[in-house]
Amino acid sequence: MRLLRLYPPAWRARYGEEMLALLEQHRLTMRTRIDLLRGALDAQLHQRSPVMSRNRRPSMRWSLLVALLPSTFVVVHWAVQLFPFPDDSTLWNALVVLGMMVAALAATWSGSRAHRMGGRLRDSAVAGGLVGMAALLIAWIVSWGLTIAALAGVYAWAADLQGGSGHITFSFGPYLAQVWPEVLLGAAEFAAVGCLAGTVLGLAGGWLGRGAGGGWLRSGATRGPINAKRRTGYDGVPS
Amino acid sequence: MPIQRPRTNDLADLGRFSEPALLVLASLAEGPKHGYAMMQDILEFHGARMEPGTLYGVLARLEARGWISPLPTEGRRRPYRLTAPGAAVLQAHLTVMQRVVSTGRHRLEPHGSRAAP
Repeated sequence: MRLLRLYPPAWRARYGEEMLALLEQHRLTMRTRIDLLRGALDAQLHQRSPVMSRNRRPSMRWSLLVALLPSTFVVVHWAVQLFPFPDDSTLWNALVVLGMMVAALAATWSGSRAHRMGGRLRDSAVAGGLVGMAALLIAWIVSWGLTIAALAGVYAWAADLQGGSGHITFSFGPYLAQVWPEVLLGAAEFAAVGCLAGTVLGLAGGWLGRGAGGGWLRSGATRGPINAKRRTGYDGVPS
Repeated sequence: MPIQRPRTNDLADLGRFSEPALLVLASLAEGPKHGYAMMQDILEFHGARMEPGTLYGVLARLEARGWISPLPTEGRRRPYRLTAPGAAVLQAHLTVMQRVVSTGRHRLEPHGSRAAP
């Protein structure tokens, strides 16, 4: 049953076999398939060993929060532009490099964590790919949001504060109509690059998490005592 | 008299899963059952067909709260049983429902009806 593959690995380890046994007796209709899709989405969103116990931190939410970090560098760079330093190009380059390093670490960490939650290498690749894609997409969206905000007058307001003069009259509609192909194309490129790089890094994280090297990563991805229940991703009611 | 509903042990906390959870608890009140038997039982006493995705979303939540517990597997199937806290939650919910039902019925009776003609 292919739809069961959409459930988190820990869920499948706990409920997969009995669900399969049930589905063999059940008439599969379109409604059943849609219900399984909703169930998989629900399990992915609420997976805490396997879905809703109280002890496991929601890893997907954590990963996305980490993925947000690169966008903070875009914000910092924007602030730097508002109040320019004598030479901000070095600072900008440093910020970009730092942002990409954080994104790379986030993707690797997610891959390792996916493995520690009972996933296979494929799950690590998916986790890393998602985080990489989210990181670059968020950075792209924040970057464009700040550009539009600056054009809408925020920059002029800040210039006024510094003793400058003049306002920019800005009309959002015509501007967006002009630049949307560039925005969409850029978003697609960022998403593709982030996904590809994240997948590779997620695989690396999963490999490191297996104990092939990287104990530091393993301990970082699963802080606290590691026991058999954590390994299987199930620490709810004993089976 | 205001109705006191338990806060921490309330089925309503389960959101969209609260009604399916009630059906599962009611089904297990009869005795341990595995997933397919629950679905058949619910179809029989409620008339609604519960789909597997919803059923296992409910089972995971009820199990995490300790309201049901799994029994050893029988082949590939795993039966579940209602626990004492689960029975208490079910009892509390049924009491509230019973009160709503009797109040509604009473108010719908001709002599007690306040509905506009």
